[in-house]
Amino acid sequence: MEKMKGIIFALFLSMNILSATAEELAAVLNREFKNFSSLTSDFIQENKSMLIDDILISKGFLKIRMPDQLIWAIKEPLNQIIYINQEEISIKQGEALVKKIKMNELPMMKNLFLILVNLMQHKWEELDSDFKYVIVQKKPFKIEFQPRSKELKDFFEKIILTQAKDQPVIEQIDLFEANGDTIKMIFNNIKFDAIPGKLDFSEK
Amino acid sequence: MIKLYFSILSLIQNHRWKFISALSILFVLLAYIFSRAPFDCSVYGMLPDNKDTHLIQAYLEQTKIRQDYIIFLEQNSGDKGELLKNANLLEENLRKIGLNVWKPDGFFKDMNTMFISLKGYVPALFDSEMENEFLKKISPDGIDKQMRINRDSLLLPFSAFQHAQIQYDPMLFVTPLLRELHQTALQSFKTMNYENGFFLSQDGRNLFFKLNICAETYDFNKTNQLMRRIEPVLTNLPQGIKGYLISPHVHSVYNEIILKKDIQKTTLVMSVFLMIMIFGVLKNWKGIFVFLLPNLSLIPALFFISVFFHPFSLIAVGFGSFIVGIGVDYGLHVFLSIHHKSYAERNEILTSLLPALILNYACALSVFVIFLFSRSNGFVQLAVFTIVGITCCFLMDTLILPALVSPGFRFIVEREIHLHPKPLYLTIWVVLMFISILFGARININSDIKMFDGSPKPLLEAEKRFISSFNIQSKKFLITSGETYLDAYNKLQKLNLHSPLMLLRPPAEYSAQNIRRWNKFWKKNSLQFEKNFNRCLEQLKFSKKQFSEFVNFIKKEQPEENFEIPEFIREVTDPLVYTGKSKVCIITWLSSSEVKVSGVFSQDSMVKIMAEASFAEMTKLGLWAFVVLLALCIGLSFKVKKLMWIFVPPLSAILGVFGMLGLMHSELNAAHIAGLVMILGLSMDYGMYIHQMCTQSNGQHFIIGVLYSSITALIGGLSLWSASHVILSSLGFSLTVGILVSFLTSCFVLPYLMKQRIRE
Repeated sequence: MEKMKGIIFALFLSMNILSATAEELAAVLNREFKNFSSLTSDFIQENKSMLIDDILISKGFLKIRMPDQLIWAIKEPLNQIIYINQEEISIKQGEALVKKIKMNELPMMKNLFLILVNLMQHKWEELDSDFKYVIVQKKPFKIEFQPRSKELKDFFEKIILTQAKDQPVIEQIDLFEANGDTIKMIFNNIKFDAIPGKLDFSEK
Repeated sequence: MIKLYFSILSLIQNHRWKFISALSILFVLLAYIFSRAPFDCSVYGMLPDNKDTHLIQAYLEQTKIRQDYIIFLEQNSGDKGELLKNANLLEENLRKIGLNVWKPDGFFKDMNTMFISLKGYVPALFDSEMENEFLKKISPDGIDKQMRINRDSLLLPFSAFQHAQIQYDPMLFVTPLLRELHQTALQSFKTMNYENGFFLSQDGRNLFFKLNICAETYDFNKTNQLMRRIEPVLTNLPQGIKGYLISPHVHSVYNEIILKKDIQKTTLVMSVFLMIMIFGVLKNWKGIFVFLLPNLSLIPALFFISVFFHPFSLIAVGFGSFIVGIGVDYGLHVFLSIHHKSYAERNEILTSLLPALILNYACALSVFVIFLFSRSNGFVQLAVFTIVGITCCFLMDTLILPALVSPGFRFIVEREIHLHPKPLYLTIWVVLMFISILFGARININSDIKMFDGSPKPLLEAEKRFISSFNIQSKKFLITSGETYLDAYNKLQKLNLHSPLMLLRPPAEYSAQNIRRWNKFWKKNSLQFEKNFNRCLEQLKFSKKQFSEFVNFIKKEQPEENFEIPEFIREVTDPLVYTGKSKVCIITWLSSSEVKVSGVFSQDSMVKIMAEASFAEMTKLGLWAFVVLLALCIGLSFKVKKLMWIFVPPLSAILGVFGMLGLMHSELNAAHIAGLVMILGLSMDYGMYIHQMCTQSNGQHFIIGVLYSSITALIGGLSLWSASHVILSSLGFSLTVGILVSFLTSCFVLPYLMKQRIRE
């Protein structure tokens, strides 16, 4: 379940946006956001944890299918795939299904997933109630998202999205967790509308 | 038999003051013993004990022992900050009266307010098998495997939750327990926030907190005192904020208060009406004996149930006023029969009166004897109380009363009532019965046993709002029982459920042994474990500093021999094992609602099962009562045709009760049905007397018998109806309406029907 919480933020990838204040940002988001039926991307993640003296690096891929399907797959250093939709979360380790959880049993997760669905369906006003935006840098845009509710603040301090230099896509996400851990996700090889059917565990 | 009766009577007569003195001492002694006996006000005691309800009652029995005291605050308007401010103020005020708010502590503080400390963890059964599992877990390979899993889990973004888990429980000693608790026992509190030590609803308009006290056992005085202390503090809350003390014990206290008040109220109503009736009929001060003797007869009855039932049901005791009503009926007949007669005449009259009284007594008793075979402990108590009570009334009225009322005492009570059967009465009766059927067909059945809770309505409504504010959901339980814990445990294992079960702690007798083994294990292995663990941390580049607290705990904070499981764990674990007199029940919480095995209950289904069981029980008892009364009539050599007449009044009474319930838009409950069963026996003799009146030339006096019998029963019924407790008032309603209809049918309809029949 905890793993999935991170996935949501990777979905900021799908925001090919960047602008100024909340209202302007919403306008820009609407203008710049590329409508897509599906999205795929590779990622490299660097995790600095207070628990560990080393930097943990992982690699894998992400797939999104509108309106509410998502796969987060780590290929190195372990092989784990997580599939999520509005109904349930399934986790597969190697080839074995290790867990299947109903969304109704995870109210916090359900709330976060609603934020994700709002994002994917361009409901920026709804998103605005959850986050405060700060434009750190323009062209390429660097936007800082700060959670408003205590519930979200318990999880993370802020999220910084960085736009790629020469295209309207997110290239990097920096997560600053409430406990002091930081995670940097770098995305590449982003493709739109490349998934023909529904997402499932057979996705490689 | 008659000779024996008269020899006893003359013995009492000759030594009446000695006898009365001895009896008074005995009654004082019995009353003293009764006053020391524990009692119960719970409605659950009135439920039948079948396979399912036995398990449910075992669960309820266990869970009622320890319960939280919760303060629930509601705010009509204003923001969350204001509510928190007022909660802080309330906390301060409570502290001033010596009550502290429970603040959770421990290593884990999860978003859903589950707090748990490693200190509280002892495996359910730390046997050799479990010891081997732990040895594997803390072996160098086990540590390495687990710590690599921990390291991998940090790869995922948003590891905040894993971070805390890994830091404080890297070897997953507690985490599985934590997970189980989350998914099951505490799943109820899903949608709330924890702020400043208070649990807030999502909309920020309601909050609750727990008081740092927990009733060890059911203790009326403790809870009552607590309620009295808290009430002024809650009353003085600022405008717009309302506060309630919520706890199952509060219900027990309210039920006890209301039942005690009801007993006083019903006694008062019964006393006033019976005194008016007695003195109205007898017009003599000696009539006081007719009133006092049935009241005194209750003492042996109370003694009986307090000795044979632990605790005895206060609801059953509430039925006392009705028994007195029946007893006064016997007294009236005896008193009226023996007035201004010589001893010889008195004996002659008593000889002729006794069969009628015995018949009346047998009819009343037959129904209550049926209740003896009920699977409901409460109804068995009611039956014992009533049988002993009525029997004592009968004996007192037939043996003591004649001794107290000397023959030759003169007063005029020569009355004769003549009935004039008319077709109009029959027409009215037919119309009324038809209307009763029409209205009776409209009544709804209310099987919710919560309606029998005597707590005040504002509290019941506040509890509903409390549940909805915090999205407290109905939990599912799986209850297995066995002769011993292991027997029950093995049955549970055999179910082979593909669903996680929360089985945390063995019953008390296993705990000490369990903790000893657990301590011994760590004494032997902790140093080696620490060494291996630190080596693994170095290899996998974990920060030693972050795990120092966990390592220190393993070294220093093992549970002692007399270690007590922290309260917050016990609250969850205690309800899980029930050790009854002869059976042990293991109660587990099911995380999956899809599991289908017998013995699975949710709180909603519990209510449904119990309601259905009580209805089925009452219906069964009703049918048995009918059969027994039929057998009694056949035993008394009544012919089939006569039986038809005899059953007209009770059946009319049943229809009348249904009709009246429909007319009043009331719902039929189990207590109404119990009342109907009683009416069957109580009103049967009316038919018998009227039959005798119509078939005998000098049978006019029978109508007096029916009149007094029904008026005394009506007074008993009315006094019960005046009670506030739903069980007593429903019983009272059924008895009052039923007896009234039965009486009217007996006096106005039955004679006409029989007259027509005789003519034919």
